[in-house]
Amino acid sequence: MQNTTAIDDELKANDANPGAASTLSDLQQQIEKVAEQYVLIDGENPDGLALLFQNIEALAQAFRANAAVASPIREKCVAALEQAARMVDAIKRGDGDNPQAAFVVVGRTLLALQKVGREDHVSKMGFPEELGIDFSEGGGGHGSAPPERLPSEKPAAEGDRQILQLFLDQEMERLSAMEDAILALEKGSRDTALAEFKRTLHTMKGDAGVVGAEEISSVCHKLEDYIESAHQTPSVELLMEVRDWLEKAIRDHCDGKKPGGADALIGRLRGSAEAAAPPPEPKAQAPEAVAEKPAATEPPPSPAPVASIEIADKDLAREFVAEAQEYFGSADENLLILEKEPDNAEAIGAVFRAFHTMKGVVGFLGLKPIADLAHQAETLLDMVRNGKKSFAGSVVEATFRSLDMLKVMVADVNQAVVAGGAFSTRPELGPILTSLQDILAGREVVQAEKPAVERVAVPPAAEASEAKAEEGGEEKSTVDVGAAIKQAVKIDADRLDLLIDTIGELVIAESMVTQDREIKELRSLRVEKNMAHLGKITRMLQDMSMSMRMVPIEATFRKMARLVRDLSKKSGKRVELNLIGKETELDRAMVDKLNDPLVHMIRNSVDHGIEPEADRVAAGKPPVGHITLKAYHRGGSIHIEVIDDGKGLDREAILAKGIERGLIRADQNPSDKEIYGLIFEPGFSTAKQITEISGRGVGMDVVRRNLDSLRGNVLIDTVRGKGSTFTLVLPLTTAIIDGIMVRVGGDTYIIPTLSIVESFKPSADQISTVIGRGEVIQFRNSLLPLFRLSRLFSINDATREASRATVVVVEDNGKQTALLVDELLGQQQTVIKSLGEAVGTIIGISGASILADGHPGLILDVGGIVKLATGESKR
Amino acid sequence: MTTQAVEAGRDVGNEMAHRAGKYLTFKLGAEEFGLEILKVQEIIKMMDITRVPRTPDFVRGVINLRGKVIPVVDLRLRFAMEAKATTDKTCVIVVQVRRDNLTVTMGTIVDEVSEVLDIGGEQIEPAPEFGEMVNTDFIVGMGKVGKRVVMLLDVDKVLSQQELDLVGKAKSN
Repeated sequence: MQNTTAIDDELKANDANPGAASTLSDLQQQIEKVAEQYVLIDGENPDGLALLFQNIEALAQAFRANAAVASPIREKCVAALEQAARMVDAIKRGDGDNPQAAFVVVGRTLLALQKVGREDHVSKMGFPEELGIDFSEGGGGHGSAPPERLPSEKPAAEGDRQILQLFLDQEMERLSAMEDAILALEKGSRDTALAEFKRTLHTMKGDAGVVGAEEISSVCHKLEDYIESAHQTPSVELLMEVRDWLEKAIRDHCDGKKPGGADALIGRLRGSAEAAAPPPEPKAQAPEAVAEKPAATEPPPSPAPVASIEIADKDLAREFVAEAQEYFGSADENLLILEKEPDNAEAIGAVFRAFHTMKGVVGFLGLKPIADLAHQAETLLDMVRNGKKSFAGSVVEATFRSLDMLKVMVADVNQAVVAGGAFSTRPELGPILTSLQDILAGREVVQAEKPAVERVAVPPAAEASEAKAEEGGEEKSTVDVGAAIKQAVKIDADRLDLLIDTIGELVIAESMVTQDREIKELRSLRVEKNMAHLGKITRMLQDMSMSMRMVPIEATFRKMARLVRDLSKKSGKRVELNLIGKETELDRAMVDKLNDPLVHMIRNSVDHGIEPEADRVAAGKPPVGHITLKAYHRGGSIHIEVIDDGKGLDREAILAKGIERGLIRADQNPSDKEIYGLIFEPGFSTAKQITEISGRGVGMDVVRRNLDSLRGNVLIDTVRGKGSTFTLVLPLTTAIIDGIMVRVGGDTYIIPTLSIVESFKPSADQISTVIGRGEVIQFRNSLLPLFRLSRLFSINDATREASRATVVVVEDNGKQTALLVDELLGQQQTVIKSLGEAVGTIIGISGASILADGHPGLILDVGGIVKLATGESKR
Repeated sequence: MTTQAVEAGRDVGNEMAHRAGKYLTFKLGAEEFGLEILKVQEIIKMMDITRVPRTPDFVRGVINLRGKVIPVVDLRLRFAMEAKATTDKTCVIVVQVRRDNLTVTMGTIVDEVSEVLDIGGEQIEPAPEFGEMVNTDFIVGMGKVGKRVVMLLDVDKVLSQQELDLVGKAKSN
């Protein structure tokens, strides 16, 4: 409001002295001010309108008096302004049957004038086409022109950034109001919610008209029609879809792009409106809309040739790639369900939705080949959903193939975005599309017969699904969505990280205060009580911040389910996968890094672990192999087990290979742990032949590398002939570490508790030197290499006598090593800070953390230290 | 900015004009240096530094700057000058360094901070060449302020990863 007053005052000042705008820049300023005022006033407030009227008049005066503008332009501008002034006056008096549209026309006039004013030089000062058209339209219709009939205009991005920004902000608010209304609608408060929704929608239509976003206003308009005509509660799903489209479209518009997909949406809205209200709409209202025909009867598009598409909106594309993974995940999962229960209507619906949503999103990106494929697949699933086809045989394969192709294409999109190139379609796309079309058209003889047979075979289920379909898709989908929508907020990941970091800081600050010696010396009961309270709240905050980072492992497991299916097809072994504990939560930062290790481990299990069927039967095992993925929390860490009932690891073969490769000496008597640890060595493989799935000895190396970066460990438990269990032990989060602080000379380091086996004070006779330099220590009947941290890190003031120091036995990938430190200082949970960007990587140090005294302490990377020590000893 | 630089380049008499601006000056022994003020985040007094092993000598370690761990470089050692004990005038100037496309916060230890000087283009001369003897790559110009000479540093170069790595490697060999 203050803004408005200030502008008003300035405008009044201009008013008082119309001659002031004698130079061009003054004129420009005046245009800008009026435009600003236009945006700020309420179209129904008579005072505001009166002021606007005065100012437009004044502006017309100023134009008339300004010799700097070439006269034909000047005259046109003046005429347009006078027309605008008349319209404002009409609105103020309540004349004209569509004041809102008239107000919009005034806005467009001002916008066009702004463009005139923005030209740098008088000589360049042109006259935008739309001004003239606006003017004549607005004039002819006496302010009754509905916004959706306004002629097409270039996106107004160059027109007025400020107006667009305002528009964007406002519409985002309206969108969230809409969403609220939709959700309320779903909960059953039909009348109020619908009224609220309609109000918001109507305002949005007007707003969109102002900035010339024609597609948006026409979609709004059609949605209004749809709601009016829908006698029952409108489909929440559809409303949500339109809302989402509107959001994208508004952003697009503000970025100066033309929002896509409006026609299809309008078509669907109209389709729904007609379905809901038998008396059809007067067609004259939407000449621009081309209704989408029912999917099944649509002529199949010709197989797409290899095309190259430039991706214009990289950000949107990136977002899409991320979103697509979710759809893939859900499609994968549900397809697997469908394979087992071809009549599961819910699963069909879910897969259908995944394809459908994806189709919508790619539409915005202009990636037609993807949209085509998604559309065909969707059509096919729609037929399945309606009981026209059953989910069996070639339909299954076609769906899987389409999904795989979509994945490939999305990966290509990602590639194109990252590399900055264009997206080009793969040649395989054509055949897939063709086969889809064949199936759709029922051209496959086998396919045509099969459903009939199956229907006879399972009549109750088929009937049930048909009955469900007949009940009306709308109601059903409403229920589905209701189950899916959780009260969740999308938060910018950076902000979330910042919040979590800040809470980490708070935890440190809190411990600094509570452990402060001076405060402790106060011995005040009151202070102690308050401190305890503070501590409790801090702990709660910390827990909450932890939980905010957590996501269920489900999505990762889902991908594995699909992987097992594919692998089992490829290898010809029948494998069943059980998932246990998929609701187990872990740090979302870890999810991505967990994917690869799991993939490799599962590949190994299927390829090396599970025996061919004949062998299994011969060994008295069930013919179908079983792999179990199990996740659970134990202590402060998360365990993920990959269990197979295959043949187990071949200890002797691994040992032989290890000796052959010189990784282990023949005369050594290595423990099982050490032997099995060999499989993590790069290039280590006992496979006699390399299959398509595995055998190159890369996989387990990947597993270890990824686990290292997560500060995790892998345990192997295997019984020859019975199977193997690989257990990944991971910290709950990568952000906080449980560590033991150790002192070496004047330095303090943190050793992750997860990697510590034991610590003890050594006696002098436990330690012996090897060739004068290296040292070994006896620990539980084995000799461990002993490394002095002080030597590795060149710390001069550390204890030299080992017997007065402390030995910490650490373990990394099943290999134990002893480190010599001066003393243990205690345990601390600390937030990990990266040293990364400024210092670069330092071998042996994984990061830093703030200690209770406020100083940074360095976190040791045990694996790195061992490498450092052994690397140095080799030299 | 670029057009300014191009114009400045054309004008031979005033080729350092684009370097004109405000500089924070500080001392290392008798020599005075200037840092572009826009690069300076803050000045803090010397504090305890956590040593980081296996880094070049001039990386004194890391400090906790309000919850952020930042490395601290001793400029004396960086310029291969003699080390000097900390006095109550010793300061850490926290600067923001561009590295690739990231902005990295680092601390630099200096003997004492002098003042903020406005140095005009006509007061700046290009850095002299000493051949192999002295590397002057990271000196963008010499500011003449009265009788004093202020070496204007390109802090991005002084603290570049490449430099850190180079020196680090030289040391470990």
